[in-house]
Amino acid sequence: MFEQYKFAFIKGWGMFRKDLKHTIPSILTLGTLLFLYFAVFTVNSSVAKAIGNVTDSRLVRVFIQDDFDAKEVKAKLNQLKIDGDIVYFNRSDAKERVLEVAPNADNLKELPEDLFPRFFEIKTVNETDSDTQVVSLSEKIARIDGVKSVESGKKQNEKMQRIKSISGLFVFTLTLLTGISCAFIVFNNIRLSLYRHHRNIMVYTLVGATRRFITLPYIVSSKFEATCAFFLAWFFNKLFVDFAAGHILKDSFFVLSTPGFWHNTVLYIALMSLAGLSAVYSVVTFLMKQKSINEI
Amino acid sequence: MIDIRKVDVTYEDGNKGLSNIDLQIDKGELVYVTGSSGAGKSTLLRLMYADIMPSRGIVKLEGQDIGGMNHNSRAFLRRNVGVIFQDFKLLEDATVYENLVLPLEIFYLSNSVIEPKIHHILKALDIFQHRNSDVKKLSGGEKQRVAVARALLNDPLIVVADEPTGSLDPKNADKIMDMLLHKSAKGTTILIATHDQRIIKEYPGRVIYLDRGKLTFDSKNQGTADV
Repeated sequence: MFEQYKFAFIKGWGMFRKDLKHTIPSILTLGTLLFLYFAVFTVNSSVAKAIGNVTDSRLVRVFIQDDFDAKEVKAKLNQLKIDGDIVYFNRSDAKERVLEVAPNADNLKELPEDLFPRFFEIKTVNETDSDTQVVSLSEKIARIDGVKSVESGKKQNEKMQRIKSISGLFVFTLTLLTGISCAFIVFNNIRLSLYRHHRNIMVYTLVGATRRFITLPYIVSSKFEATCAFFLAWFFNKLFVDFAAGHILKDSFFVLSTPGFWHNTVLYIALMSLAGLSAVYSVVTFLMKQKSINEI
Repeated sequence: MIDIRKVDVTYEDGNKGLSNIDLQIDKGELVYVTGSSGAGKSTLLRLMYADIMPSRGIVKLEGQDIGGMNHNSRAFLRRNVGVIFQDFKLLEDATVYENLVLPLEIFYLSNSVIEPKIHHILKALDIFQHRNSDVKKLSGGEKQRVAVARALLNDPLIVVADEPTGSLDPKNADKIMDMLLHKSAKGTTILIATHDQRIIKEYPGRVIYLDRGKLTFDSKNQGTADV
């Protein structure tokens, strides 16, 4: 069995190298498609991460009524013995915070500080705090004199969830379409290669080669093709992310980052499986249509 | 060895390739299949390497019925059948050596096993000096010897040759026939479809005659059939 796989690997690699000039357009097409997918995936996952950061469900913001002293409210908050940090933002801090979140919003810089509300930001320490506990805490805080309103991460989450769902659906659809397109590109490339090697295949069939013997090298070859396309796409995505992070999104709160190692591994394995299946289908259907060696 | 009983072959277009053929061939026999063009000689030979299936009847090679064979079984059967064509069916852009590697590669043999086998048969057929030449640069006789080498490399039980001397001069034709006769003497069953009466006379063997898909003469049962 080991001999078969070793042979298939060597033969598949040889076939890939020999056909490289014919395969380059296919690798470029596959690479471009995967790059577009990676770029969208990167932006989408970064947005999802950013939304997650902004809408931390353990975060509670307490806005203070204009005519109340912040110290009084702080004292009452302390009485609740909240297990977490309570940070006060005066009007100046509040404006600064908003400008941090939206650094390019120049019009906000012109606004007077008076327009920015004072608030306390509370982040509960216990990571296992459920949404219900955070909501319960928010309700207790809301009853304190001097508290104008309370916003918890849960409420923000509910607002953002719809955006996340839509973008998730978009990425899912894109994954399906990219998968189908990749499968077709590999299928076609293998089919063209089969036509190029038609006579060899006929001779192999004549001398008693099994379908498995003929198919395995093509599977290996398709995996080399998909690997080249994957790394090409990964490389260009890295360039894109580095450029965007270093120039377009410089000093922004929005952090664009390439998918992590495990994401890439899963995508690579999925692509390899798809390429392999596509190659098998291409070769088997070709062999089924193959006519007699007398006809070549 | 080869047992054909009441076999019909009908092509997709409805034409009958063979009709009610009964034929038994023993191990080591040299059999000439003759008849005019379109008589069914090639069709009979194609049955031997399971390139076509009978529409009716039974074809048994070495006790195996080819009718019920799946693709894999057919592949394994072909490993025991060497096939030689009039137009060689070689890879013209590949070297002689590369052409001969194909039937050995399917057994996943290492180069250390493949190379001596190929060198041995090339020397036996007197084309060793052409081992690294592209097939397209060889003469017709040399190409046919490469085709014979490919057919004989795996020591097949049956050799099927469709007009193997059809495009060769007498000298080259004799070389091919000597080699086939040598294999027949060693127990390989040889079936040759040919029009070449000189070959049939000089290299005696069993002769069967086909006419419009029917077996009309068999020298083994001389007198029982009309020629």
